[in-house]
Amino acid sequence: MENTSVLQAERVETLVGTYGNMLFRFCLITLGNTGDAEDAVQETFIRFVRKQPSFRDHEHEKAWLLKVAGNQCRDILRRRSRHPSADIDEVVVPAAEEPHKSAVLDALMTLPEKYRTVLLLYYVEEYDTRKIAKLIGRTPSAVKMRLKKGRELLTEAYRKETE
Amino acid sequence: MDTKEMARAVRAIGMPDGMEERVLRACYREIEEKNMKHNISGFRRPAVVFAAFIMCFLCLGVTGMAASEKLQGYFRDIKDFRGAVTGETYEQADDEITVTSAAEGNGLKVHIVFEKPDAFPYSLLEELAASSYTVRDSAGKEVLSGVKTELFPVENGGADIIVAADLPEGKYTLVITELEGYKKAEQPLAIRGEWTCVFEK
Repeated sequence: MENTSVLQAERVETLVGTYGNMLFRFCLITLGNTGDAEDAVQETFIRFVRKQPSFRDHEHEKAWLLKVAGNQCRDILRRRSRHPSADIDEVVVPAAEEPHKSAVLDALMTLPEKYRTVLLLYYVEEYDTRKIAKLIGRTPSAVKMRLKKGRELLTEAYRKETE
Repeated sequence: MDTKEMARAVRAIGMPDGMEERVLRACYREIEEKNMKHNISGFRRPAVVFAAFIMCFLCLGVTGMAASEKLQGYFRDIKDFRGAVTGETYEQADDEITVTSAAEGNGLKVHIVFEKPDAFPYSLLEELAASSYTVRDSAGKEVLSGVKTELFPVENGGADIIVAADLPEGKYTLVITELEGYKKAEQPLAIRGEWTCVFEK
């Protein structure tokens, strides 16, 4: 049997199992729908297969995947702005299942994407501002400002959701 | 508002059912294609194809999912972050549609053929547009990235779509990754896959 293919498959299976959920929620919070989030996650792992990068440690591995996923999300957002389609709120489709209700998630999703991303990386993935800056290609001070503004907007949005 | 509550709510989000399998399937195909390209010896190529076949069979544990079988399209719900269904797409339609193209005037005529025009969802479509596509030159450089085309009628099991492509002479590769199918009074259906064809201007 071709050992290279099997080893590569085992490696990607481990990564998908370890980071799949984390990348999916990152992409979902950034992009707002499961279809685009799945596309972004899939393309991230395909890039991994193509490049077969070496990692110093698990932190490096996770950061690489998040960076690639972030780039995929940016590409999707750019494509969306070039090809505007029907507002998903206008699509009337009966819900197949009871949607997950969370006032804080509702509030988070009202924020512009740049604030959602830094709030998620800071509070959920527990990165510091320096590491977030490297991931998203901004300065640490820009990240701090986005965190501050993001918290303010989230607090206000949550207050409105729970009124 | 407690940011810990936000973190808890976000951490509760996980991949939907079936997604892990779909992602792995796409990765296995990529591994197979990548390793086939690196095999320069014709003697080893059948061994690699056979190995990829066995790998897919073992890793997926599904008798139907072999590398040599045709891809089958499927519907996928689009859900928002709450999990409420907001739409659907038709995925993995690669082997259900054939695409060829030829330069025509200042444009490109793309001939779309549904392999099974009487099967769902193709039987319902009345009009078709190309909504995501790129054109690369012979050096691999992207020279055109698609704005959604006009709608063209679906007739005789397919459609002829005109893509505006004012290009200099040369050889090009068209890659379409999304078509949009329309039926009166219904929401458009995004049909996704990857269709590649070469044309000359």
